[in-house]
Amino acid sequence: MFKGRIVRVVCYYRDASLLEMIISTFRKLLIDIEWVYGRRVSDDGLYEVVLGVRDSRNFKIAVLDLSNTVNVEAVEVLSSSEEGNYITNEYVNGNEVIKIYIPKADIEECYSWGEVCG
Amino acid sequence: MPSGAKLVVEALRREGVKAIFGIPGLSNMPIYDELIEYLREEEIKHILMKHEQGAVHAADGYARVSGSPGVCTATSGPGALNLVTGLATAYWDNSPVIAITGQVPRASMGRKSFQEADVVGVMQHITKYVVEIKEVSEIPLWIKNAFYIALTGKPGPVVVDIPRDLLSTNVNTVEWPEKPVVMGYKVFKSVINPNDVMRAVKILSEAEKPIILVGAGVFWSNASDEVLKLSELLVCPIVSTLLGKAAIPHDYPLYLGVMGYYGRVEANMAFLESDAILVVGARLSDRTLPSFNDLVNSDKKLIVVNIDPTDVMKLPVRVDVKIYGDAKEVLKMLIDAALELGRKVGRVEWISRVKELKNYYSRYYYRDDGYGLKPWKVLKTIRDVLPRDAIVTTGVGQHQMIAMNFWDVLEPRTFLTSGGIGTMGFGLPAAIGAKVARPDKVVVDIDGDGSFLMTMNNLATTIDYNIPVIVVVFDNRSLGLVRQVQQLFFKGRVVGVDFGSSPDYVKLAEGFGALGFDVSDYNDLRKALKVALSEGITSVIRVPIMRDEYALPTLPPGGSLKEVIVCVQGKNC
Repeated sequence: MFKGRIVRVVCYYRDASLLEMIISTFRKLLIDIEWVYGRRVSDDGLYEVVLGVRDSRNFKIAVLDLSNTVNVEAVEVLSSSEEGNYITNEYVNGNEVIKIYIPKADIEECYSWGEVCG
Repeated sequence: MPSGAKLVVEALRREGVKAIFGIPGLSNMPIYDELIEYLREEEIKHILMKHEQGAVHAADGYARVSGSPGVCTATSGPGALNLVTGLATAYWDNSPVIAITGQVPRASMGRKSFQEADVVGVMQHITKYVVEIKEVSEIPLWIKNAFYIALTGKPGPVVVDIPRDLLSTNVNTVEWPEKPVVMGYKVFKSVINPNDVMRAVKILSEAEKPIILVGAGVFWSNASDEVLKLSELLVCPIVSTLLGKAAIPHDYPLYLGVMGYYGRVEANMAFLESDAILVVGARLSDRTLPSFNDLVNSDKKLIVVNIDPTDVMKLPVRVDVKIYGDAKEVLKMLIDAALELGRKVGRVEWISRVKELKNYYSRYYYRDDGYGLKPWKVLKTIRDVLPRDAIVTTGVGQHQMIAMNFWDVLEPRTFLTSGGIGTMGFGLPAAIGAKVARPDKVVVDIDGDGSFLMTMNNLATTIDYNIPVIVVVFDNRSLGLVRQVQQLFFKGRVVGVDFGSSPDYVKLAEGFGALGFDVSDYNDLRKALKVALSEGITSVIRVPIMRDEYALPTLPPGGSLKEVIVCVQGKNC
């Protein structure tokens, strides 16, 4: 059962170091990541990366640092009333099916290069 | 048909680059091959450093003095990896450095090829940005982008890593971009609400004991005149961070010095006693404010001016007025608001209290028991000989903390030090960069023996390229600051810090073709400096310092400003 914080990073892909940067922003502040989901959302290379991270006293610093990272357009902290596993694997007719639940979430906070957005 | 390497050099020229500090190797060699024409035409200078760490510190020194990005280059693998410490130094201190690194050919990647290293993976955590070039055609745009990212917002270092095969590939057509294009990068917006500006001025005018804390943001935005003007108008004493020191002429009567961990007691006390603080261009790091309890448990009014709003959002204290913008721009508005308000402030009591603090603590600083040369007196001797606009760099350690408190900066941008991350070995190569940027200025590296020995090989560069700098080595045959901490806070268990009798600094200097001096008193030092200045050759002046000299004041690790240690029994008590 996941009970951490959900973060959506809206970012431009230049190369795969983008994912390293996002993940390491949490890693550097000793914040564990429970799950990550990402996808391309536009033809000009805009991606969204959604992470479930453990709550931490460093959480706000990580979000602010990430919001000032080159290639990152905005960082949203999401609130969701849905608690549970966001990525599950189930067996349907003997076949393994991986299900990704995209939380219907409200934006609690949003930061983009020093601006509070959303 | 120009090659990728030609595009790199031409793009650098178009950005106005006049000097490149570097070392060639297999992977950046095509860049050097194209550089030859530019060197012949004297459009760009190349300075061959003796280690890549020296190259990046030199580029950093160049940037800090000139305000323009300093450029360095290194080959792949070890060459690029040797840049790491210097890039981190520039990142922590917001210095715009551009590093161009060669990378192994794309076909060789991932095989532990000769001199292969994951530059993006390593550098992305210690720079503002690092980009791996994927196509030759991208080179002009990404060089332009690199300068844009390095200089805008909060400045910082950018690495452009280019595989060797791309450097050697020719292109049919070249598109020189007019503007940078970086997706997902924004320059911080100035959010200066005139009401906030007026509120800030009212708070400062109505306060009984206001103070201005000046940080590196004032240095980078060239806002020294503005901060002095505001201080005069509001009769407001100034304290600074270590990097902010370079923004304030110390003969300004209301300047109290650097506050913080090893800072001046009067600066710390004035900060503690103040009832309103204007913080300009400082992020209140753990060196400036080791414990936020000093602010949390007070009813001070806090006004913060910062170009980066997230620095303010991270503060664990209440901020009464937040103004986001460039220091110079905001300070001008604060001055206008103060003039508009037109309130006359006297503050006789506060100014007299500040002077009292200054005089009281001076008795602990300026002591001379006749036992060896006193660091403060050595600095005073140097100051008396050097011109007002001489540029001083430092290494990191006891000598740096002593210079922080007792070196008088008289012109803005004339004091360079590794303040954020504290990199030993910064002093000499940064002095080289400063001298290349301002050959008309006297440049002096005030260094410690431990720090100097880390990058002193670059003395050879100063001789080969006729870049005369003066190095004053505070030689206590020890890693003095660590020794001091062991003495004070590790029960005197001194370990792993003391040097033997090597080296002989005069022979070392002479071996490099520099002048070497071994001084034994202040008069000797004065004479050595005068000879060094008149000869115009790189000089190393060894100043013996007693091993048990301390850099005071200090705090216990993690301590509050209230816990300042002004003197130690048997030293200066």
